[in-house]
Amino acid sequence: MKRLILAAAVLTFGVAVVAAQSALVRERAELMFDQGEIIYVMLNKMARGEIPYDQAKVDEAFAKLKEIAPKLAALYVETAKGQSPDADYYASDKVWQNKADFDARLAKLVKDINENAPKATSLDGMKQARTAIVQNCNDCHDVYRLKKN
Amino acid sequence: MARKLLIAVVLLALGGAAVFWFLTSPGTVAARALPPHSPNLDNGRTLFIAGGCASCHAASKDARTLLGGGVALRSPFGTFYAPNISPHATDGIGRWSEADFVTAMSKGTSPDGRHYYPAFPYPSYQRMTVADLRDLFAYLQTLPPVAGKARGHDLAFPFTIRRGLGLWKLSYLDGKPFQPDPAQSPQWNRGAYLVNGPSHCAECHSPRDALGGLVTAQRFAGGPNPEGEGWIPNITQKALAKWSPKDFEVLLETGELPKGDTVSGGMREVVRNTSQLSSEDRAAMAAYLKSLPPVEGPKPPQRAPSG
Repeated sequence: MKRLILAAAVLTFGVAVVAAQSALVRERAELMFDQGEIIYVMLNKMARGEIPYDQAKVDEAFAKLKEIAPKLAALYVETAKGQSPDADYYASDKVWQNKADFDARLAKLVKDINENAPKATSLDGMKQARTAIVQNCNDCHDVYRLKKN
Repeated sequence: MARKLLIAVVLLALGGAAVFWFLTSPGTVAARALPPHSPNLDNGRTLFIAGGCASCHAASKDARTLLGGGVALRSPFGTFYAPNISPHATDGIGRWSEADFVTAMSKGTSPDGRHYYPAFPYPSYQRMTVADLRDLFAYLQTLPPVAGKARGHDLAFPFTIRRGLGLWKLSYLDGKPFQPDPAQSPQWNRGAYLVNGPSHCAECHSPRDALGGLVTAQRFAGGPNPEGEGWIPNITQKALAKWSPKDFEVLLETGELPKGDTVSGGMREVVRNTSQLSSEDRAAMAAYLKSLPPVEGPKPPQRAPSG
């Protein structure tokens, strides 16, 4: 009877660990998507003139970027590789082969967001800020992001 | 009895070898087959950009006219290293004739009669007109000569036997240049020529079979990245029905996708080339790509989150 309980406990623990790792993969895919919605979609459309410039929305957008970016580094753990079922992209193994470089890029992203957010007080200021930040996204994706389908 | 058997086997082997040798003889284009032609260097430059030559043959992404070679192209057969195609007399193609270049691009044969590996995408380049190939050659000869031969390919046996490619070519090379479709507009035909010829889009955007040839039934329908990881997307209307021709144009000019994201990896390098084409050429490619009938591609594998 004791052995059965022990086996059940170990099994539950194992499942919990796996679930926790998948949760990490899902969360980072979601956070990346949220960042993308801001910088690739909304701010891009404003920059192109497809939607009207709205200072309140821009302030909110940069506040969200400042909130999301620092959370990313902790999610790229060695034990949580793999694809999120809901995302189109996933992290290449190169992330963990070149962890120092990858971490440095995330740090730079946080730094660039913090430095450039104050510039976004007008359409031109927002465009400048966006261009400075989005370079980080594109350069990192070039090396570390893979398409699923 | 054993002696007769041995003689029969030897004769059969010799006969087989002779047939193999005959079947795999490299195709060439003779100089006398080329009519008089004044090269158009502007056209040559356009083809150089559309063809993406610098992406494989220029060691530096920024010095795109220094074609000393050396860029690695990984594949399931090993790693290929693109050669020096600068006009250097000994290390590059400085001593090549026009016929040598036309032969290389359309038949995949070197001036000394050896087969090239189709990592060099001559199955696409064979669609180019002879006049265009000669313009491209003339343009290449104006670029700076670069000293130094690139290193040899890193392949495992039996892929080291170049002669065997002669058999491969019988299946995968048809020797036909591009045929315009009279029912379509000049713009569509220009796009079809660029996409299928110099820009060789299908070479990445189609699945390949075990022998490394393109699966024609699933042309443009995407497949595993032959260079290793990730997936190369389906670009037929099965996947891109929601895209307008303008979306294709914007992508070819800036790398931006309709949802605002940008392409990465190998496609980013492609955009470094297509962004330099004229907007008319990009519009032509867009018109053609938008017209691709929907084709179901292979299914990408699912990598479940691991622990």
